[in-house]
Amino acid sequence: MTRFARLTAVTALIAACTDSLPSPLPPPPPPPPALTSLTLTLRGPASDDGALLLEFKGPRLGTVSPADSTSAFSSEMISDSVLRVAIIGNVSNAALLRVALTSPGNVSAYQATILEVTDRAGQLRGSLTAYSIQITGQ
Amino acid sequence: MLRTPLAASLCLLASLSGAAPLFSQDPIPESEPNDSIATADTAVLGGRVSGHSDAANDVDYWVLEARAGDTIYVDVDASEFHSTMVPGLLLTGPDGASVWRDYGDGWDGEDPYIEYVARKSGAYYLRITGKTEAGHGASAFYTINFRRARCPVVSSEHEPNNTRATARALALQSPVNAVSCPNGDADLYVVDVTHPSRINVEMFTPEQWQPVLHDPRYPPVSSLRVYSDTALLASKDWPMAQKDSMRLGFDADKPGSYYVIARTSPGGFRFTYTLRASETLYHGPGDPVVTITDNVGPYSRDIAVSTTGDLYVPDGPGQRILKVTPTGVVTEFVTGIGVVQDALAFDAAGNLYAVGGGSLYRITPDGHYTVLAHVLTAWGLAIGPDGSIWVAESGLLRYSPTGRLLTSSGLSSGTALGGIRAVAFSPTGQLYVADDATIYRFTDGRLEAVLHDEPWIHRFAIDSAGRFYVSSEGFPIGAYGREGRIDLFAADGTVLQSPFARTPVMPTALAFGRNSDGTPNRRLFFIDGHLGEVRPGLATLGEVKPGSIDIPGGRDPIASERAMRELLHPGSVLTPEERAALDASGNRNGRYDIGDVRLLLTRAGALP
Repeated sequence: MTRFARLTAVTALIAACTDSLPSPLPPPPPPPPALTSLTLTLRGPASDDGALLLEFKGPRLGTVSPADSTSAFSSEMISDSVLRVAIIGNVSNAALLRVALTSPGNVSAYQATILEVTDRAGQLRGSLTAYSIQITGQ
Repeated sequence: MLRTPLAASLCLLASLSGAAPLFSQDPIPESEPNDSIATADTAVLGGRVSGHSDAANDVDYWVLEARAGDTIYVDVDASEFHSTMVPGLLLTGPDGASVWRDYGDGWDGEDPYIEYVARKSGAYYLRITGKTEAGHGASAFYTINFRRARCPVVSSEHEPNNTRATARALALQSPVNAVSCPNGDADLYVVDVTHPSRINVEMFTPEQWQPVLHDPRYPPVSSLRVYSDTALLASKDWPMAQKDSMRLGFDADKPGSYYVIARTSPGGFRFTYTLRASETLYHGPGDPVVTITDNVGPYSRDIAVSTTGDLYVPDGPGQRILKVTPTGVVTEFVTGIGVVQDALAFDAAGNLYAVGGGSLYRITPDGHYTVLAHVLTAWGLAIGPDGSIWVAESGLLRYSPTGRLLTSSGLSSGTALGGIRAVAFSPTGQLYVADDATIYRFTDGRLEAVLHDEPWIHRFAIDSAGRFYVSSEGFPIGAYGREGRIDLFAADGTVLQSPFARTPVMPTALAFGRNSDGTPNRRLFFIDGHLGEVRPGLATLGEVKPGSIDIPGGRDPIASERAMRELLHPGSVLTPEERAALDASGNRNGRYDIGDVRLLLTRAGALP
């Protein structure tokens, strides 16, 4: 066997052996898509709410837009991470508003607190314990 | 049992008739000449005679026989039946000596009366003359009743009641109908008070009291006095007119008996009155009201307040508009134009608008006026936020600032009694109109009732919280008095204070004041004139108790944007007063919240 022939055989053997080795760990899954906006949805016991005042906390809060154009709506940043929102109209258990984020973030980093709820005659609800805000991201 | 004035009058007449059957017989007429003892006409005790004062020097003699011990009653009726005669009497005895004279100084109205026990038997001569300066001729008639005159029992008054021992109970809210009997009768009543309170006594004179005033300098006067056990607490003398009323309040500091003395001067059989005591009439926070001036036109029924804080009132009969400073200085602003008494309003630029003589006027601050449009008349006038001119006529007319008719809404069919009586804008620019008893929100030609106040709404003023102050003629009290008052309603029509205040007779106009810089203030002015039916020339321009208005009036809207921002930045946008005002016009829970803003937006029509 010539020297060239031996080199070729070794190379072939190595190649054959390599194919038979266990597979390496799969690569990590791609990161989840980064959230760029959040939707706040009211969950409450009444169907005739007339106004709602809430506070929304979290990082990278951006612009806010109401989900229902028929309601009167006002929002302002109280601080870098606190947003206060007033919604007055025929409020129902549905999406209230959408909050854009200035950079991707996670739902778990955000918290909504309901401050006041009224009926449609303008009378404050006596208890808010049954009310909550569901936060979902897009 | 309470009786009406008519029933009381019938009762009075029945009482008189029953006391003397001959009273119903036709009187014996005089026969001239009877101007001397020698030609005296004959009368009899128990009978009636009649005659006239034919001329200033006319004298009539009547002769009647009496025995010693007989009582000679001479009751003359003249002025109480609208005779122009003011009679005087002279009674002479059988010996020719005068035994009694009465020149009508107030026994029974202006009519005289004699009650004399004859000391001798024989012929007694009665001379009756008419005061020279009074009337003579056919209108100067008299009747003489030679009968005993007694003060009759009328309805719920019971004579005698002229001492504390005989004082009759005057229960709260239970009127007493009574007669101020002749010869200075004093009627005493006792008000038993169970707890410290403010008591108001009202004295009303009925329609049938129409004395002939021979000297207008001395009109009939009604008097009220209130005493505790130990002291005079309050007193008032009031020149009384037909269907007039007088009110007198006093503080009953402790439980016990309080005595009210009522009398008229001159008193008389025809001088009936109704007395009522109440502990609620003056409990409004706006009481007591304050008089600014009595020197405004008696028929004025509107007030417009300029941006300098002066008050303007129409004087229809005087064909002028008066300017009144908040301190009561009255001057003429413009003269020579016909103005109706119900329609004055300022625009934001300080121009005054008025209606009269078939014209809608715009009057500049220097008093120059131009005719903008021809309108028939007006019951109310208001200037909208956009400068449009709203005239309450048979319907509701809307003119442009230049006088072009924009819209005409016929509203008679939609209102209770055929027409709008008042029109005004709220601080948020909402137009409200009122008929006689209801205030409506007027939007796009539609009426929505907001509040009801009976009877007869004259005017209303809206404060910056959207609450309504309403001037109401009020229900009749007793005979012909009125419970005229100013009531306060929440923006949704809920009654907050009724009464908020009482005015002397009946408030016919209402307006909030302004400071000299034009900002609305907490002064609420009124005119009280009883539509000119009572005390013409004595209309009062006044204001409710200073300090009693908690929220200023005028068009001072709290923009919804500011109200919303206050929710987001609590305590940094609105003043505490503004927050209180919005709560007062909102859900009234004692604090400012989003419910108040919702109601603000609802009133402004900003919500679906």
